[in-house]
Amino acid sequence: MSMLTATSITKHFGGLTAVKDVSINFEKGSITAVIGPNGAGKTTFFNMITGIYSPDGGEIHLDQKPITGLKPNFIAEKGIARTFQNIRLFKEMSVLENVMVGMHTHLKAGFLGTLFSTPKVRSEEEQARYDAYSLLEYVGLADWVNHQAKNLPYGAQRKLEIARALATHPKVLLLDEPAAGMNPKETTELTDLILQIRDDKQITVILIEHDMKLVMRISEQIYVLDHGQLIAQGLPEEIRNNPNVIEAYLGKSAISV
Amino acid sequence: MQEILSTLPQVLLDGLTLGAIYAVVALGYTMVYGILELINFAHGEIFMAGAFIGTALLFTFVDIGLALNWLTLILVLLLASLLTGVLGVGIERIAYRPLRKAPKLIPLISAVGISFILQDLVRFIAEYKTGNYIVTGQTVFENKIAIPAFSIGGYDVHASAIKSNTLVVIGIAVLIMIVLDIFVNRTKWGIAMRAVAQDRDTAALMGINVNKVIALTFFIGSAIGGATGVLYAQQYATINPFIGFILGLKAFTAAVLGGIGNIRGAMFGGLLIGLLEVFAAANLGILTGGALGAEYKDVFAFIILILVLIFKPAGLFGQAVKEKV
Amino acid sequence: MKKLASLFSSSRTFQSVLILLIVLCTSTSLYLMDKSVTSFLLLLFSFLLLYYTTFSNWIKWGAGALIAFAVIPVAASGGPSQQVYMEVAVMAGIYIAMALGLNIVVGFAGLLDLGFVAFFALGAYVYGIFASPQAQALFHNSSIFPLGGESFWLFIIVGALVAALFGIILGVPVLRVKGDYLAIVTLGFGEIIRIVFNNLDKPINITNGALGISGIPQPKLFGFTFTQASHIYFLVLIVLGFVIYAVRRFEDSKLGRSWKAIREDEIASQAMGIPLVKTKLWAFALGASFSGMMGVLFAAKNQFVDPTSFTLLESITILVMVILGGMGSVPGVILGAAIISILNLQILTEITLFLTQNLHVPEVFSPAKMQRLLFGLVLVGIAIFRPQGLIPAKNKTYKIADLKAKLSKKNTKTKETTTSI
Repeated sequence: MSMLTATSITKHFGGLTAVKDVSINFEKGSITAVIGPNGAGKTTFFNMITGIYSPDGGEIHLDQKPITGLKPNFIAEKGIARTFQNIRLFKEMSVLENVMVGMHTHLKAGFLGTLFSTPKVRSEEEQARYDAYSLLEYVGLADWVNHQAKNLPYGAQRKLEIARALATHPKVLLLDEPAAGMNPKETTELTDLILQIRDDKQITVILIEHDMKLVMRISEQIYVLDHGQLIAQGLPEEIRNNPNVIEAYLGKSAISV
Repeated sequence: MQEILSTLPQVLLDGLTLGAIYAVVALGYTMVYGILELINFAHGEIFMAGAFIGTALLFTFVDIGLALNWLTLILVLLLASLLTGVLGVGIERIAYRPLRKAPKLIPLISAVGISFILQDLVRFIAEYKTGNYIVTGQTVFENKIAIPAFSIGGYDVHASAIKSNTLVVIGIAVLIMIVLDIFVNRTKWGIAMRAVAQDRDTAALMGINVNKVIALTFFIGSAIGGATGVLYAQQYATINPFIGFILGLKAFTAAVLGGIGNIRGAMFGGLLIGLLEVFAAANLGILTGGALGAEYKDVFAFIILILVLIFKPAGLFGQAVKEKV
Repeated sequence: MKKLASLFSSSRTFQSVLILLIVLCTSTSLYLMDKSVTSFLLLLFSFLLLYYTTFSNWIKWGAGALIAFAVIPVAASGGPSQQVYMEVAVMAGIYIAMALGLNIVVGFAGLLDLGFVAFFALGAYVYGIFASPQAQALFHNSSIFPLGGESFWLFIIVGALVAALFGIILGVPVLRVKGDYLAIVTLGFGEIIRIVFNNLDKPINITNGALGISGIPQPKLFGFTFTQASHIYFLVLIVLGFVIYAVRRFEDSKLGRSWKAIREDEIASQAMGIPLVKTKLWAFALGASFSGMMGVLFAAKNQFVDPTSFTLLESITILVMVILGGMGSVPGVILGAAIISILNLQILTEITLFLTQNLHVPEVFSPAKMQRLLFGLVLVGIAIFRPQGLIPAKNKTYKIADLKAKLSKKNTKTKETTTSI
């Protein structure tokens, strides 16, 4: 069953077409990679799905319901969470608070309830705290709870972004270059974590990644973008041997050799 | 209608004069914003400092027995813009450069602080020297040019008079704008400035000395702001340390109206706001049947600012910039 | 010095003895001597010491309340300067509450508001117009107006609501666009409100223009009228107590976290489901409402309002309090507001008096006139050297062991229930 579908979506910036007529269908509970050379339009594709950009053409459906052009916060509410290529944590806030921000849409505390600190609000806060902590345990950051997010090592920051995204209880998780800047050991941990997330929580995972080892290991489907267009799709082995993909990455001469 | 039309020539001339002043001050805001994405709150005070420096220089010239004519005025303009230019560069070096990597709120706060420091320093010096912080300076061109009454399409137009200084203000302001436009678009340094405004890191990679370009931007913006201060003091004679604040607000509005970062836009915005303000001051009473008077003229620029932000936040000539994700 | 500090932080006995000693000495000397600014200031200093003690929060708040409600009013009542001290304390309290309001906007939500005094003015004028004879100029044939001092209690809320409403009206268009425009728009708004109040004596006389509104009634409760500063003092304390309580509540709540998240990164906040404009509006409205509330108090205390009380300098003064104390830090902002307001109201005038009378320094050098310079230096200095302020904001911390223990308890519980099914 398909969880997320993009139907011929397009985005122009001035004269440049960043994404052109791309259609992809993501199956529920699958792990899919979107790859392509720099500037291929991968992040723009993510930004359209998460509502940061509104597509100039085409439609996006989540669970058969249209979400095209909705504001990012509504899309997050409907069940799409993401991480960012250039880490965007709430730097001055504590690690635990970062995750608690992710729970925003699921907390019901209102203005007066907060002001008078009603039992309901208090127990909700307490619950949120434990949930946040258990998510931190899940991604392996239990020891960092009270640290400021900006003081975390790089790899841990990427994990925190994932924990924060998971806190929104997403149906779909978009990871924008989750392994960037990680050492091999961290990358292996991350690979396991992504697989675990999918298996434990039945979340549909979509990732943009340049680390081909990681991509080949965990993706069930791979889509290749180049110059904003979808140039190939298929299983990892098919993509590995696809001449179009090699050309896009290495140039035309690479094939003839 | 008759009433409005009868004063129209005077209104247009006064509006154009004020608008020219706003326009040049707006250039300083727009240049700094374009390059640093910082509202340089102190810019209004640099304008004010220019007015005081010019006035002080003219007093000194009178004291040493120099005749006041167009030559002395040019000398004063050059000296005042040199001093305010250096002032601007100093402010950037001390109060903004150390904060370039800080969260956006911090340099804004620093800018507000600088603006207050300048206000009080000038107030102190003026009060110490003259006993009063409101100063009436020397005017170089005092004679008036009369425009006779005439009648057009059945409407009588009142006679109006302009100070010859009005022509000086408009002339010099236009000259500054033309020179700046040529500088930014045609010269090596102007192109470097635009490059830094577009992408600081890439510009640095291309071998542009970013710090130098930013300092240059502050120098030019402040120098022309200071020169405008001198013109303002010439036109309106009386100045005080707080003139830069509301005027700065309006000039900033002009910059936003023209599309912040857009130099030609700022010129257009300044002229438009100047005209609207003088028109409102002259005719608000007539248009509202006496309910609202000229005292609301300062409200106008503000309402324009809000309207622009609601309907065309990128300004009339700017393009919307989206943060890179 | 370092030794003393370490002794202070390690020994609770030392802490209690020191504070008791200070409170005792200063309050006695304040009571016995007529004019002793130093002991008054030292007495206030005991609050800061109290903050740095290691006692539990309940004890700290209890002791603080005791000093504020009992020791200070009694100690100050010793001489003819009683009302002077109380006046200073009242104004300091009003400023602290306003600074806490601005802290929500600037410190928590990261929005620079340079016209905050506008909301203070709105509160003051709302009470001023409807509770004073000015209302009769507005509603000629109405027997309800003026409302009188009994209505003060209602107007505390009305003032808060009106200010919040204006905050929203201003915020809706402005909060949509880029953050730094907000600074300039609020700056303009502050001036506009002042201009409007200054001129709204025609066509209909609403504010009595530049002359201001006089004859504003003092608060009345069950026949008792709060006439003296020493009466108003208790009112201010209660309102301030409420404001601190409220700010504390919001700081660590869903709303408070979303403010801070927006301050740190708008795009990431949105991706977490936080609506930007709505969240910013809450900050704007809530901050404004505190200011409006204090405006009502201010009008009732002075029995007079005019536009000169609401200049840009006032807005910047409140901003300086927040920046100096530490953006986003509640204890910091309280400290910053206390320092600046006491500096403004007492210390600068004392120094000026001393300089001009004893040393015959010309008036142009008087420090009381150099507020702008002083505030400007504070702003630039803090921005460059200590952006986190005197007492930096701290995130709430949790004991990991607690979280872990409760979590495992909960997990076993859920496991039990699942197995029983």
